[in-house]
Amino acid sequence: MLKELAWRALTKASPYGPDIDLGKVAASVIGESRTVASHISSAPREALSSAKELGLDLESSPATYLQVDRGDVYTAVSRRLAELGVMVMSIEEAAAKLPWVEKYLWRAILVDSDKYTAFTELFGRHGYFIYVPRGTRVREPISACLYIHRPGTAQLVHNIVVVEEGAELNLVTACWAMPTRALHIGVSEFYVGKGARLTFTMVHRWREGVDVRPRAAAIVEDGGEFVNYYVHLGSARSLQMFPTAILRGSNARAYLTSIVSARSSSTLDIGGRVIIEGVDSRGEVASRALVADSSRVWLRGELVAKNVGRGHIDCKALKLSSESLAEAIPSIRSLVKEAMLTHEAAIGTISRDEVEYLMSKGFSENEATSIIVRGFLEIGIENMPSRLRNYIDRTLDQVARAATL
Amino acid sequence: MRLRVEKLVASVSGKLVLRGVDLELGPREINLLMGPNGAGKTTLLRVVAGVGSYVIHGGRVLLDGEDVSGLPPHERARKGIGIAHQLPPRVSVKARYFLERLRKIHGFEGDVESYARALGIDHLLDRDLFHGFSGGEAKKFEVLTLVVQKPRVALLDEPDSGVDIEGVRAIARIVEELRSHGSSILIVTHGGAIARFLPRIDVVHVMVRGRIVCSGDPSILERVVSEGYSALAKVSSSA
Ligand SMILES: Nc1ncnc2c1ncn2[C@@H]1O[C@H](COP(=O)(O)OP(=O)(O)O)[C@@H](O)[C@H]1O
Ligand SMILES: [Mg+2]
Repeated sequence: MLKELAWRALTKASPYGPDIDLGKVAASVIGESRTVASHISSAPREALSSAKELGLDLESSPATYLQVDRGDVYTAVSRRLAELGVMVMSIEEAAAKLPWVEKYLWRAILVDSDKYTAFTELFGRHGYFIYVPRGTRVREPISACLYIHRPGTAQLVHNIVVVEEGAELNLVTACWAMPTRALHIGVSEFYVGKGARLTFTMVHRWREGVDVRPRAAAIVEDGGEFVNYYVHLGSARSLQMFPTAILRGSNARAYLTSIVSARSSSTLDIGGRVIIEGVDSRGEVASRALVADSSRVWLRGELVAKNVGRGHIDCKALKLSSESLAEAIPSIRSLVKEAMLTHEAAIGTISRDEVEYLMSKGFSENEATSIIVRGFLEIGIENMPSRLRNYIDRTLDQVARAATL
Repeated sequence: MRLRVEKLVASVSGKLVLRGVDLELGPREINLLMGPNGAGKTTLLRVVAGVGSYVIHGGRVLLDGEDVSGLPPHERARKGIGIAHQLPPRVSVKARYFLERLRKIHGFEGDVESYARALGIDHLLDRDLFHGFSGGEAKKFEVLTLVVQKPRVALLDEPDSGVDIEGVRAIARIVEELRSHGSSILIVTHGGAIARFLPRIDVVHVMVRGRIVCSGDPSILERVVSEGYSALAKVSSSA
């Protein structure tokens, strides 16, 4: 049934972002079967060291998942977390071992949403399955990495994250590529139980010839909280994503934050959507884009209120070149009387006065620019574990430095 | 001399604003710069700090004998010229983050937050710089930046305008502290409100239409307040 739906959706383009011809990609993935599954300590050194460059020390993480290209998966879970019932493994392994995993597949996202979801169902390999049982609060960040090593790889993964009632998970994921030509599609479904909390931090560093199509959605139950914090560091040829948080329960919360740096001739189409279904739920979509060189960036935000609740969209772009293009498209829609939805959008550039002010205090022109850029990127998120906050701070420092080189 | 301004001539938008300014500021001195609106006081401070789009037609600025006239503003700041702006622009950076970076480049090791508390602006640290600051709060914040910079020469542009009495007192205390740690201070003031709280003022300069028309002891301050600038301008031009 799923496969059939997928086959029928294989030519269904996404409404947003440049279309990718998947026909050529399909040829490269059909019939390939190589697979390796082992402990993180046997992962390729070079994968571990490039994860370190992105700030993630996988070997000392309390639990980790690393996937190289399509078939190679390395995992580890500390004894303490294992005893608590925390699971980190490949989705293929999970589906084989745990029959109940099936009920989470394609429940937050429709398999026939577009050709990318369909393609992943038909030709995808692995992706992570992360499970935190009821009442278990894991504050220290757990890491998951998806790494493309071989040129021309089509890394198509399906990730499932389940945070049961009253549980907490702080998941940090990094995705990056070595080669200059590759495709990455990550389908991610998040299930946040009653009173549970999931912070999902995702850092991407791609190359000029890489196309990226994450497909993410979260279902959040009563009093649950979902924080999606996305940082895009490097160039990609094209990136399009529009994660959705469905606030199914009452008093649920979602914060969808994207911070991107667009350089060279990248096309980035990002943002997020929050659907308020449960009473008194709240959502926020915040985006910051540095738009340099001849890049093009679309910042989308969408709020749909199907019940009493609140939502806010905040999209801002800072243009660093005149050849680039930035467009912000916030959209708010209410199907009830009492919802309160607001939005703000701004596209600007660094003002001469700001730079001069900072120079008068002793900062060089470059330092001044990087301070302003860094300030622009800051989006406060409450209640982040300090290690995660530090990690994000360091990552944003990198973005700011790179943008002003 | 700590700071020596020699025959400075400058214009902005084709308008001659400084018409040959000479001014000296000695080590550990506090000097006041007074003068009617539009006399060129702000322009002088900004030209000394190297900011603004002024055209310099002549003259020099010497810091401890070194000619800094050709240097960009950040190099002057690094060498020890600090300016508290009359009207700082809004900057989209969190005050706390800015101060942290400022502390790093100037090697300040004191407790910035306690100075912010003394000035009554600690509640602003998590806001963007000068976004929605009141006039007085902006002045106080500018003084705080001088604390972190510990400049050899501190230029304060109307630090007492729009500031409540308690605030002026706190600013004066910090100015005196800077002086006692070795800074030389030049303060632009109108009513001289800050002067009441400073234990000592060394020299008062009066600027009229782009020139210093008289420099002398603090009794000038009293004369300006009681008689206005016109009398002083006449005295000096006939002398
Ligand atoms: N950017 C500018 N463009 C045009 N005129 C200016 C500019 N800045 C200052 N001026 C003029 O220069 C003169 C001196 O200004 P200013 O130095 O600010 O005076 P003060 O601080 O003594 O009140 C004024 O007439 C003012 O209008
Ligand atoms: Mg002025």
